[in-house]
Amino acid sequence: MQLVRALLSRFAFGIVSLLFISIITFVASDLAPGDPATYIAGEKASPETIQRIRENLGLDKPLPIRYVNYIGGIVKGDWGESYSGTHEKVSAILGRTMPMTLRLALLAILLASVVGISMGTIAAIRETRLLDRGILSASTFGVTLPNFVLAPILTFIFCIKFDMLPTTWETQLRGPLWMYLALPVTVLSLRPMSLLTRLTRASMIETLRQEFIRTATAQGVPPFRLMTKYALRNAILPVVTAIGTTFGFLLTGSFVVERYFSYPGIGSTTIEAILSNNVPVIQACVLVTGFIFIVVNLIVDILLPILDPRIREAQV
Amino acid sequence: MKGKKLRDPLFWIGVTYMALLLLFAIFGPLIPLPDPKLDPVFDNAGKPHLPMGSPGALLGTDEIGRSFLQRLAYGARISLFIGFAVQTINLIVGITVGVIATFSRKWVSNAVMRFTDGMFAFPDILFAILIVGIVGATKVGPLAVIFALSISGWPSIARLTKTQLATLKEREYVVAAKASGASTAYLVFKHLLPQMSGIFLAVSTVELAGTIISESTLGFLGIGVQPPTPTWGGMINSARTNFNSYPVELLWPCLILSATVFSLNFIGDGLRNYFDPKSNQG
Repeated sequence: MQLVRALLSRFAFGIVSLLFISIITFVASDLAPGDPATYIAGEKASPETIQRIRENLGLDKPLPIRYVNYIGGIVKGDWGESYSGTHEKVSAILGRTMPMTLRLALLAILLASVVGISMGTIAAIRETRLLDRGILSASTFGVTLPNFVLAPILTFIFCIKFDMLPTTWETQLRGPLWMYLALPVTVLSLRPMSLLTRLTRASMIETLRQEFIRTATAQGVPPFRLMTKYALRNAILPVVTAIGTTFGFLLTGSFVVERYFSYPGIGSTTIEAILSNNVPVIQACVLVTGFIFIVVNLIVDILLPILDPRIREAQV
Repeated sequence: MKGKKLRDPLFWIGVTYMALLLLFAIFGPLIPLPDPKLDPVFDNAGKPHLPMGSPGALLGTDEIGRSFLQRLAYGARISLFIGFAVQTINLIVGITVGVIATFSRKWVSNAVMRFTDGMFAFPDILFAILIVGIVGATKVGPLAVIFALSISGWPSIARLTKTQLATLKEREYVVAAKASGASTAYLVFKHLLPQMSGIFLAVSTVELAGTIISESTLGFLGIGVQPPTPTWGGMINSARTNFNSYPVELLWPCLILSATVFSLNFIGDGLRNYFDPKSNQG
C-alpha cells in the first residue's frame, strides 16, 4: 500500500513537472519576438487581414485561455503548423523526426550499457591493477571530452583517413544503414558509456567486499557465476537508475550529434527552428523532449522497487 | 587539515594551465592585430588560409584571414567570463536556496527541495533553447547565455548546501553556539558557510568546466554568443565546414577547449581530495 502511494506521488510529481514545462514553454513562446498572425499572413498583408487571422487563431484572447486552447489542441493531436516552407503540420514533423532521434538514443544507450557494464565489471575484478587503471583513465577522459570534439576526431579517422564511413547523413542513403549510424551512435554513447563504466566499477567493488561474496567463494561457486549471478545482480541497481537519468541527457547530446552529422532528428529540427524563429516547432520540440525526459525518469522510479526488494521493503 | 599539502601533480598541471589561459585571455587580444570581430581587410584574399607560423598569425588564419591565435584569445575571454559569472550566480542562488530549505518550516523546505530536484534533473540545454527562443537567436549575447546557463545551474549547489548543512548543523560546536544564544543568521554566516567554503570551491571548479562545455555547445549549435564575436564553440562549428580541406582549423579550438575542461577537472578533484578526503569518488 505504501509502495502504491509512493508511486502515485511520483506519478503526480511527473504530471506537475509536465504542466510546469508546458506553461514555461508557452509563456516563453509568447514572449518571443514576432507575431504569429503576421507570419502567416505575410509581411505585406493589410492590418485587417492580420486582425482576422489573429481572431481565427484565437490570438486576441488572454494568455490563460490561449494556454488552455493550446493544451486542448495538443491532446487532440493538433500541434499547429510550421511557419516556414510548406507549412507542414507540426505533428507530422514530430512523427517524422521523433523515431529518428529515439533510434539514435536507444542504440547509443544500448551500446553504452553493454560496454559500460562489462568494462566496469572487468575493472572492478582487476581493481588497482593495470587494466583497471587503464579503464578508469579512459572513462575519465570519456566523461570530460565534449562530444563536438570527439565527433571531428572520429570523422577524421574513419571518414577522411581511411574513407570507411560517410561523413554525414544523406536523404538518399548510398550504403547500408549501419554505416550512417555508426559514428553518431558512437559519439553519442561515449559519455554515458564512461559514466556507466565508473558507476558499475564503484558499485561492483563495494559489492565484492560484502560477506556473502566471501561465503559464496568459500562454498566454491565458480568465478563466472559468482561475478554475474551473485555480484553483478546486486551491483546493477544504481547502474539502472543511471541508465535512466543519462537517457535524458542523451537527448541533450543528440542536439550536438544530430547537428554535426546532419541527422534528421528532433535535435537538429529544434536548432533549425530556433535559427529561423519558427515558434510552433520550437514549442513542440521542447515540450516533447521534456515529456520524454520526465517519462523516462518516471519509468526508472517505478522500475527500481520492482527490481530491488530492498527498496520495496524500505518503502513499506 | 593544516600541514597537509596538495601534492597531486595533475592538480598543479591544471593550475599552471589555467593561469596561462587567464593570461592569454587578458593579454592575447592586446596583440596588435586587426580586431577579430570585424571582417578583415582582404589583403590576403588570393591566399586566405595563412599556414601555421606565418608572421603576424602564429597559428595561421581562417578562410577570411582572421588570426586563429587572436580569435582563441577572444574566445577564452568569453568562455571564462561566462563561466565565472554563471558560477558566481549559481553559488549565490544555490546557497540561499539551500539555507532556506534547511532552516525554514517543513512544508516550505519540502516544496523548495522538490522544485530544486525538478530543476536539477532537467537538461540545461532545453532551458537555454527556450531563452534563446525568447531573445531571438540573432541577438544572443553573453548576458543571455549567462542567464540561460544559470537557470539550470544553481540546483546542484542548493542540494550540496542542504546535505552539507544537515551534517554540519549537528556538530558539537554548532550546537554549543546555538545553546549560547547565537541567531540562525549568525550560525550560518559565522560557523556553517565558512566550513563549507572548501567544498564549494572544489565543486564550483568542476562545474565551471561544465559551464564552459555548455557555453561552447551553444556556440557550436549556433545559438550561443553570436558571430562575429569569436567563441570556441563557434570556431569549431565554422571549422567543421572547411574540415575536408583544412582539418587543422578544427584542431586549435578543440585542443584549447579540451585542455581547459581537463585542467578544471584536475583542479577540482585535487581540491576535493584536499578538503574532503573521505569522499573518495569512484
